Amino acid sequence: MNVPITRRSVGCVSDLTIDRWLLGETPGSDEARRLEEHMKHCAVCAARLGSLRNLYTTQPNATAAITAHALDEAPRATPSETGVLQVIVLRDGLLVGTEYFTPGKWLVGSGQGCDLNLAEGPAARHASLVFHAGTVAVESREGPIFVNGVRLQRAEVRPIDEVWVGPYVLRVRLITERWSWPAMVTAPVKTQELPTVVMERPATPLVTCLHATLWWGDTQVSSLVASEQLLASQVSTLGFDVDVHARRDAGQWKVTSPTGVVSLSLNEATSLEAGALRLVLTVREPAASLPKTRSTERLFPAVLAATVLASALVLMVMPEPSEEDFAPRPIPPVKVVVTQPAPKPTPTPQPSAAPTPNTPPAVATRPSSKSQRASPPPPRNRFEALDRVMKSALNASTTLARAGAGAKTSGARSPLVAMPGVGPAKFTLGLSEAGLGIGQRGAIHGGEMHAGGYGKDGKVGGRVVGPVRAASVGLPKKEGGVIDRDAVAKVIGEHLQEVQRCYEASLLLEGSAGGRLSVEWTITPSGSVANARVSSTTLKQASVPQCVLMALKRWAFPKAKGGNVVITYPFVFQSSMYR
Amino acid sequence: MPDNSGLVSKAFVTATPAAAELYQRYGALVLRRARALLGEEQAARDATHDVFVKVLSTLDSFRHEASPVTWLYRATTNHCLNVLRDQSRRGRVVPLLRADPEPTEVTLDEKLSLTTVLARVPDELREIAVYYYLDQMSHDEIAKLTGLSRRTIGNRLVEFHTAAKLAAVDVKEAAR
Repeated sequence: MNVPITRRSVGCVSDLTIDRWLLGETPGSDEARRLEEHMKHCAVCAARLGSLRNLYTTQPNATAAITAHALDEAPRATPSETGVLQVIVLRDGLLVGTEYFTPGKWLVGSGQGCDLNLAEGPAARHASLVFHAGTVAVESREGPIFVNGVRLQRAEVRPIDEVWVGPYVLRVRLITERWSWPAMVTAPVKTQELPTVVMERPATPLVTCLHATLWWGDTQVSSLVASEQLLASQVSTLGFDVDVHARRDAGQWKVTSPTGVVSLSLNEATSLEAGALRLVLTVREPAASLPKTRSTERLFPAVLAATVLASALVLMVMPEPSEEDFAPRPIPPVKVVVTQPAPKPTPTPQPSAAPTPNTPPAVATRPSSKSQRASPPPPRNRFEALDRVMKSALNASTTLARAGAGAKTSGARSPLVAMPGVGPAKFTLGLSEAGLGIGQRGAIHGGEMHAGGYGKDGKVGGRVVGPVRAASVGLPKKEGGVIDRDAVAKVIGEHLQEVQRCYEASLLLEGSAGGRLSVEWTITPSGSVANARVSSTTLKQASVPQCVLMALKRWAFPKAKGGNVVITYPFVFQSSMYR
Repeated sequence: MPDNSGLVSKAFVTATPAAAELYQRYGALVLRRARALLGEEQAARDATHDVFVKVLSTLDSFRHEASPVTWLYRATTNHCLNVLRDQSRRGRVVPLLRADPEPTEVTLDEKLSLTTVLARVPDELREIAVYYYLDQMSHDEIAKLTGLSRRTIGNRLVEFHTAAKLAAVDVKEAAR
């Protein structure tokens, strides 16, 4: 079993499969069909199958059966097959002597003429020793025999067994060559002999070559291919010390071995054994003359010429490619940032527009715009940004609650909500105190998009990246209706992927450029979108606004209570290249 | 203690016709398998006897839905691997007792052979490695034979590869 740790073949069947097929366990199964199909093309496996079949059909396999009948049969003198038997004689634990026997039936006893003469003790013709086909057996004649302490009339003896003949102990040792295959296959293994395997033989034999493969047991040791003749020296080089040579003669190979001459045609094989080595000779076509269909042979020059002609035409017609055509155009990773736009300069509040008691105190004490932009530092990380978002959401909900209680103000950017029924004042619903950055992150094809918003403090945390669920909606305007801001933000967040797809599609066609797109639309009491339009945009890509509007019109918002609600929402697109 | 396995085997064979038929029909298979694994005629014949003793003693537990060939194939493989393992263990003891002035040279190929690596791996890897490298079976065939899943077969072969690499490292260090 000293084999390398490699796989020697691909597609060849294992011995177990052949065993099962030969022993009739897989008749008509897929496994059997695959095996039979494989045998048509693999001469090595066909030779293996032939050898195994001989093993099962010719070799007397069961040693027990031999012991049951061999004693009554005339011994067969075939020393070349079975080797020599050495009998070791012991007495009182000491070596008395050894004797060698060839196959046959021999007498053991103390009498004259015994082949194994044991003085003092055993009967004259005490027992018989039978050595046949590599198996040893003893039979009691005039005296009792004990095998491993058990008295028996006849028994098979193995090297580990002890046979007591009187005071002597006999042990046997078989001196033989390494195991040899049961019978030398001198006739070519023709697949026609097999029940189902049929080899394809071409009508006109081509120039063939002889594949010589040396096997040790189930392991392939070496191989060579002979084109004209196979010399004995080549066979010896393979490691097979038998005088075997072959010569190609009129499409056939004549293999000459000590057992005779065998003629092999294409796809036929023969095997020769010497000890544990087995030389398989197979006649096959040369690799260069693999079978081709005639149609292919005829068509091949035409196909080759047509290919060359077509290539020349293409080269002539095609314009000289510019260098740019061959330049790689990698799609850069895209980062889309959607934030609320920076607020317009806030007009100076009129003295008459003093905050009402319901106005949040932050409005009254709101600092100037510059100080507002500088006051809230950008979030240091996503957690800080998230914290701000949650705070702002809390503030916003507080604001909404107050607005619902009747808060009223004339400040254009004041966080107030018009009371229902109040005229078409441009009230703004939004966040007042906390500038916030909210984000909804989605990594699509290397791009990121962030939905962000901010209040009066301007753009804060527009780069915040994080899975913020409670996305704050932008700056909805009221036209007599009331709507849940968080619900609107949720709808927008659910459809941000569509916005991003619009932007990425434009990036592929129109290059990388970012900008802001502010969209205004009206949410009707039924929840549908009406009057969607682009309020402002700085995008260079003209396709993005149209795409976004088309998508926006399909979105379903929560129903607005009491009338229409105008929403203005900014999307800021930014790619990594643009930044 | 005398070994009565041969007698027990004979008794089984003569006692039950079914067992005798099993022996007649599949004896060559077991013997050939043992020869392939052990490489010695007498050891193979001993293994054949022992395998049939084991098999016949557990004949009642034989799964009748399984193939006798695969059943005996596995039994023979496991028994022969155990024999080889025992031989390797004894081989570590015998050189201590026997003064061998000239230790035999072992080539690198032999050190990296399947037998060498098999002595280093657990039993569950050993059987599958034999099927894969010696018998050249596919993953499917091994899975059907052993009743394991293909994933398990693949994993165990990977483990065997790791062991083989370790053996290669040892050989390289020894070569230095």
